[in-house]
Amino acid sequence: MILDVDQMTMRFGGLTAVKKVSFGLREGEILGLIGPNGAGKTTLFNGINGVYPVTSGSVTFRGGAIHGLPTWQIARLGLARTHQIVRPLAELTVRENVVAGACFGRERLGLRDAARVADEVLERVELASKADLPAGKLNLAQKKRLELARALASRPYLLLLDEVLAGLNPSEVSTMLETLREVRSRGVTLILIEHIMHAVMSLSDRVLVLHCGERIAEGTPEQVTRDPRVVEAYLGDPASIGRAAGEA
Amino acid sequence: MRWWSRFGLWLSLAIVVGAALLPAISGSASTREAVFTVLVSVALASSLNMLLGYAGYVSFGHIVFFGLGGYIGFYAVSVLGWHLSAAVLAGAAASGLLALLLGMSILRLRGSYFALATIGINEAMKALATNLKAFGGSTGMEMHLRAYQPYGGAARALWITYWALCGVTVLAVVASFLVKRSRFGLALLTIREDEDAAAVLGVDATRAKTLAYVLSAVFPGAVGALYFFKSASIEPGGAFRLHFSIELLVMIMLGGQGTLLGPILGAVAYQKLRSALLTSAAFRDVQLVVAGVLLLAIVLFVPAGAVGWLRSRSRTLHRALE
Repeated sequence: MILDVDQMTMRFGGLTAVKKVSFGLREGEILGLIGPNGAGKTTLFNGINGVYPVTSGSVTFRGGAIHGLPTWQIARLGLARTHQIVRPLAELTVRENVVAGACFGRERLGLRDAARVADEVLERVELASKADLPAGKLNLAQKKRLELARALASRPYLLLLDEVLAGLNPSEVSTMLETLREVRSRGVTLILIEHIMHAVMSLSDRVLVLHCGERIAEGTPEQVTRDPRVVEAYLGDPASIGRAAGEA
Repeated sequence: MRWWSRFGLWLSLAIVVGAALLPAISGSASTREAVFTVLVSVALASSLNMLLGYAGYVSFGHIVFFGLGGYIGFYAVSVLGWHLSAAVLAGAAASGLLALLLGMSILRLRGSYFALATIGINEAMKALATNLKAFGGSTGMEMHLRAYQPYGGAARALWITYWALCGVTVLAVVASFLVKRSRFGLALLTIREDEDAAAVLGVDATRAKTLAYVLSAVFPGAVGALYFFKSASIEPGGAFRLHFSIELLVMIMLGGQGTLLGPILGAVAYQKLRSALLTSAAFRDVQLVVAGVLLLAIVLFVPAGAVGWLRSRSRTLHRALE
């Protein structure tokens, strides 16, 4: 087990965003995390990497408890993430963004080694030609790839991907999928939050479904898509839909 | 590393050293006084730039470190009879220590809250100095002429102070350059751009910010000790002069925050402008108004400042200017 989340609960005032969620992750696995808007997916990520405090429960990463550690320490243990709403360091160049990933991540490289890693990663995500541009000047698809590059440059064991495909056109999606497969082939474990179903289903070994902060299903992509609770969470109660259609 | 990759440093040093040598060539005390004022600004602006320009934290009350260094240095020389060099180190150390203690508490604040806290600290230190008997209370302290004897009399002491200031200024500029080109500097830049994203990347923001704050305080501490040794007197209003703090911000913004050359050019240009205004009948009483309007105009129209604007014009300039 590279990651073990046990009974994680995250409460904000009266709102419980994540309720007693448990799951484990084997090394090299890809776990898809799906659920309707507001299901608590991003909050779960924020709990895992320490952006928000976990109210109760535990998170164990590579054998050590990480809940309660500051975000930067968790990052240095080899846990990287990308953001749903991209956060480029806008006035720094694309290369500097990725160098920062390599410098302060797991390997804590010096500037010279970090620059080498950065160029290599930029090549892999096809941003090498933009290396000297300010990161703020990239378009959305490029910014998403930059987020990924920055995370990869830290040479993480585990990578949390928050909707890296959202807002991309179909050809950009397939480029990104290829990149993700390649990342996985290098032994990086992935958790991905995604709304584009065919992508989640084709990439994931396992899928975890959240609804209103609770785990409602877990299994292979096939199992999950046939689960009535999942169908209900996404489409509403099938019986009530039938009734509504009948009344109309 | 090829020599041109450090062109920005050489250019900046050339300007500072060139200005510093002017009075030596002319031998005139009035040139020396004029350059002294400019170099004080250059050193302070370059130091503050390490916090403001690199880490993106606006310290409105940065002059507190100049004042504290001044008081500690002054006390060390006039009361304790220390040598000037030891007094300067003590001033720098005291300011660094204050920044360290403050940094651990107020650097958790962000944006305008931090800026406001720095003003509060300056005012608090001013009040402390006003009420401290050992520091002469509200009337401050005077340096006895005897204090200049070990340096070969007052006239020579002034020259020694001048050259020491040149040294501190060069050190501040070199430190700015080294920080900018280092891993630590990159950490500060990531904090400036997005502190939360920096943490996700693994940047220990608290540590980096505190270190930047300490560095940006040490040089003003040394400068303060030299400045008030030369003035031969110190009082709370002069040491913790809040509007000088704001003028420093104007200099940095004018030249270009976050650049090496910007604070230097900004300080020189601002001091030139200021002395022109002070000697003109029409503007004499409103020179601070001009500073305010200038700051407003920069923030609105050229937020990157002169050097930042030039750097964005062409690739060559981007590479040549630091």
